[in-house]
Amino acid sequence: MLPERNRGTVRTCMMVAVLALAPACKDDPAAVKRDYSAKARVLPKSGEVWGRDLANGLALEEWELCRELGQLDCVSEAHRITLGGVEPARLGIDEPLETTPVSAPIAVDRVALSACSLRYERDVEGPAVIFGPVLDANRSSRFDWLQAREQVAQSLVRRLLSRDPKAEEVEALVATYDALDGISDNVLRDGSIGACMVVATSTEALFY
Amino acid sequence: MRRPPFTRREFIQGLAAASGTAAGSMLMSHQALAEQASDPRFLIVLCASGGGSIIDGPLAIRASESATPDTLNTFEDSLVTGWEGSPFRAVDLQGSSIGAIPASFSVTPSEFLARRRKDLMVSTWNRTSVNHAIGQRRAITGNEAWKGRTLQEMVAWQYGMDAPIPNVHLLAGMGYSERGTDATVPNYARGQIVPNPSIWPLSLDGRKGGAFPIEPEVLKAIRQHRNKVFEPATDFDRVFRDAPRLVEWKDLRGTPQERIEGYDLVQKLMFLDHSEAFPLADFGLSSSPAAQAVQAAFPKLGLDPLDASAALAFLLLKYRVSVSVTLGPNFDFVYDETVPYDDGASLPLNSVRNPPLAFDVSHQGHRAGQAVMWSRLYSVVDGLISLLENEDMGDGTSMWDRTLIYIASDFGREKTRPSGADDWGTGHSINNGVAAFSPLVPGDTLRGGVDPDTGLTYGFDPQTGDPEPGRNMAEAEVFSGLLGALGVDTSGSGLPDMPSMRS
Repeated sequence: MLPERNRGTVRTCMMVAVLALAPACKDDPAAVKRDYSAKARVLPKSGEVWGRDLANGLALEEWELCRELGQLDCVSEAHRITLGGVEPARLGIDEPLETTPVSAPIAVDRVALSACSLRYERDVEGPAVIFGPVLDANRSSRFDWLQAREQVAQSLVRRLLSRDPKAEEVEALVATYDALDGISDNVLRDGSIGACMVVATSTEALFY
Repeated sequence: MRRPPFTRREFIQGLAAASGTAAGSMLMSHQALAEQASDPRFLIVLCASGGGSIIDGPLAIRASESATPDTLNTFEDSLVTGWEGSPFRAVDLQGSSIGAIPASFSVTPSEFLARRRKDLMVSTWNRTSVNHAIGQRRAITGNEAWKGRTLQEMVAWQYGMDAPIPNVHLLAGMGYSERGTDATVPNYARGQIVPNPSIWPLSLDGRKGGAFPIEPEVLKAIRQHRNKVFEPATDFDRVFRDAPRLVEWKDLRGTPQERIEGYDLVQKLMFLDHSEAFPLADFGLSSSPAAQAVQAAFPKLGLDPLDASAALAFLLLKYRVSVSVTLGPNFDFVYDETVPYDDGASLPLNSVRNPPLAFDVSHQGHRAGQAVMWSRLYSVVDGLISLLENEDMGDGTSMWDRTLIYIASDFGREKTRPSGADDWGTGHSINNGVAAFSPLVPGDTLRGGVDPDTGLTYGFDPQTGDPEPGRNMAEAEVFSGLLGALGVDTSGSGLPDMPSMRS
């Protein structure tokens, strides 16, 4: 490690270099406009990690998230390899599959649908963890419907993505309920489950 | 949301435009691919995992034919069944153990070959490796004969443009299921691993069979809202939108997902019936309309992973989900507990369906192991042919008329034995042969031959098919011959033409 005196010198030199380059960047329209990574590289979370995040976010046990035919754990058994897991003993798969299986996005939706539906059902029974505001707003006109949806949206992003949401993200999630108007016969339920699925299966939730 | 860089059709169109006539291959023409997809051929790669020895299968040697029968892998004449005018043999064998496993067995391949040898061609070859993983890979690439493309990829590329999952691998963790190394092979032709045939259909629909019902239109709207409204609003998606994994993921969420769910595969591929252990009806599901047929063809599919794979393989082809399927025994011990004990002296007759290491149990018990495993593969071939023969293509042909079953082996086995031994252990050998069942190959035909004094196979003239003692066929030649039988366009590949391997 550099001594503190030298580190200060390095910082100064770097700042001078950045300032010297700044005019050149300013003249380059591409550099000014670019707000994305030129060398973007992300990796998928394994099903095990994503499932753990999902369980934590929805305050469920991992084994409760999804069980195929009521018996097989979706993440650790039924869709284990599809979701990026390994199974060296029986299948000889000791590394995650090199490419994403074509059925992986479907399996992800399937798990999220189950988990979000279960969270919604539990919240209806109470005490609510996530969907309390919209359930209250539905029961009583004392609560503001828009505000309730915003609270749910904020909660979903905080719990499932571990960060505060931006205003436009909240707006997008609130609009999930509107998007189901005329399609669903129970917008409260399907909109809540849908907003949860939207966040839980977003690329940010699935990749790092 | 940014759209994927290209769709499947656009990829092919772009490739055709970019390549022009450089390669001169039909595979570069979008129109030709569309035509081929409507007039497909089907490939089934049935893997003789561990090393199936051709002289323990259809090329068995009678003791009376050999100068050194006691020290060579030959069979008593009385055990060998042959047919007038046919080059093939079958050895009906019984025994009380498979290597060190005290399991009695009785196999009758003569019954199978009596019916099916009319569609059997055996071609001899010499391999280039006796390492399992390498030999397996080279069995499907012809030792990287064509830019490292695999047989399965080539068939999927040429015939699978309109199939939702053209190239499915039901055998994981083996060289037979490795990807080819040619980056120009389109993604749709790459193999998809299916780890568990009975459960996998459940991953082919986002909602059907789930514990929490949701209307399809609702799920569709939720997905659209995620893809087009929420995700584009996130910094993560904006910053990493060009990451290859995200592009791939978003591509899969588009057309491929719609096609898969549109085929209702969660139902069509469900070959098991409702039961207490598999309560389909409780979740609004039922078994495939073809379930009874595959259960009849593969009655042990509930306990034997190979039979389950064969059942799914057929359904994948029947419903045009795939044009290439790869399956085979893995190295696990498979035991049939439903067979009752008899005298208790050994495990019940034919209760060991798959010895540990499959064909590679030959290290401990060559003769018994090869007999049990060849019989196992013949049984799968028989079931598949029976099913495919009954599938009408609508033009007077059956699916079987368009299918080739390639029995791919890691390599061969040593040809010698301790003097007079009934069973013994063998190592690996580069010398062997390939069995291919299909109406697309010359039936009841041997290309090449076997020297009964050494047990070594020899080659043939690629043009005429005449045997040529002293010649050995290369992996690239057999690879090319199989592609040729399947009608795959190999122009521009530099592969040798092998007309004697196609009918």
